[in-house]
Amino acid sequence: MGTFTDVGCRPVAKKKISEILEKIYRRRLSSWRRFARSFMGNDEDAEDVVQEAIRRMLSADPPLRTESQVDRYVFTAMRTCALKMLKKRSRLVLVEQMDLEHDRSAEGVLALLVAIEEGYEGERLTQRVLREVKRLPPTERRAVELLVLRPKPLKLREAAEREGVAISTMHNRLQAALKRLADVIRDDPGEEGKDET
Amino acid sequence: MKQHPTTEALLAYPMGELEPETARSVFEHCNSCPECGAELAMIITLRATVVASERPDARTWPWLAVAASVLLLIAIGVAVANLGVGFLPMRPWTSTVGDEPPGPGPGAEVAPRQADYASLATRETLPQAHVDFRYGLATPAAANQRLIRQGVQAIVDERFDDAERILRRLHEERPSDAEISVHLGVAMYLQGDLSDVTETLLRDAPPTASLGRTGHWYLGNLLLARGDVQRARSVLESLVGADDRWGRRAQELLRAIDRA
Repeated sequence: MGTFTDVGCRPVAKKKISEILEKIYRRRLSSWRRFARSFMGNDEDAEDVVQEAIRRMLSADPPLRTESQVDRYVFTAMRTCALKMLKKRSRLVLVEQMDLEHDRSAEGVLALLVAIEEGYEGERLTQRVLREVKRLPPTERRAVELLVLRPKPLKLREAAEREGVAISTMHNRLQAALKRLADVIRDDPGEEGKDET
Repeated sequence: MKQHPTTEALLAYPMGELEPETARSVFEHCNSCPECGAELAMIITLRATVVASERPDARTWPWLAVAASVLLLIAIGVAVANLGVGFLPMRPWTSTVGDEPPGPGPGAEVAPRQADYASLATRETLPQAHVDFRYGLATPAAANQRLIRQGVQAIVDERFDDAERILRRLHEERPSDAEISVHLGVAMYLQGDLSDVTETLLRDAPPTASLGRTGHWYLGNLLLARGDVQRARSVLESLVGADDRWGRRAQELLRAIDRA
């Protein structure tokens, strides 16, 4: 793979952002890829998302002046690009299946991700999610920590062994936690504003 | 995919552990199944949140902070000597990612009380006695133990980058090993990483065991550095009572918190 300057962007008037990107690209690329992979589920599509996000940023030339501003911008752009790619793909799938009459996608994963995306601006989603995880009942929170939040999450069996419970119990705790989180985060995006006061 | 994907498959999706075609079909299923869809959406959101909340500057932070602190102390010294102004509270251990907003200007309110508590959080590394006690003076025979010892020794020597690299690799191989998790958490904390990931790692062993007491000492300090005084106090109180290094340090820190 080339560098971000190889992705077909005009080199004019991009010096400042290009310079910042040049500095942080190698250091941050692995995080950016992991972020994109969270949405796309595989490295191949994740790479497209990263490249597209960088291409967009270089084209838009936003007035960013620091490394962390650029870093945050890339994350936001990746989220937008990933959802766009998933939307595009989902429409194709629906057309291929000729399943429009029984379309339940209005309630599926993509609809929920888009609803979450639309409900929160910038880093508020991150703050809200972390706060809601802290509010979970201790056993459910522990399940989320072990199975999803760790740098290298445990498998269900490993987490169950660690906690000394049956795999089905660990499974139920995770499901309950995910449902609880989905309900509060999707249904009440304005609530996070109230917490700030 | 007509059947519901397993929970393992949903958990594997954001980690990129599924074959691309399988990942796509899992997503397709979840797009037409509200139950699976809600689960996968939250798993994706949580994983993305974890990655986005990692500190981009964690590796360089301690040295920048030390340099900044030295400059700040000199500036304060000059100000106190020349102008007779009072002591300005420092913000030595912040948990935010990225740029800090500029500090309050003249006439602005005094810095928040939270900053006073954060300044109490320790930056001290593990003592050499910790390594000697856990691994003995002789080199352990088992290869993994030897590597863990190398990682822990790197923490003691304040080579936190090396420590994190060694321990992270071990953690990836043996994610359920509390010995590795706790020490990885210590290395990350001492580099200024105050994220939930670090908190989770430090919690990996109960405070009743020797390893857990070490982890909980740093966990209490991490919470304090974040300004979460109530939880920090509760964690530190769980260490008090035992006549060991962490018990005594926790007692001292609790007194300092009371005075602050």
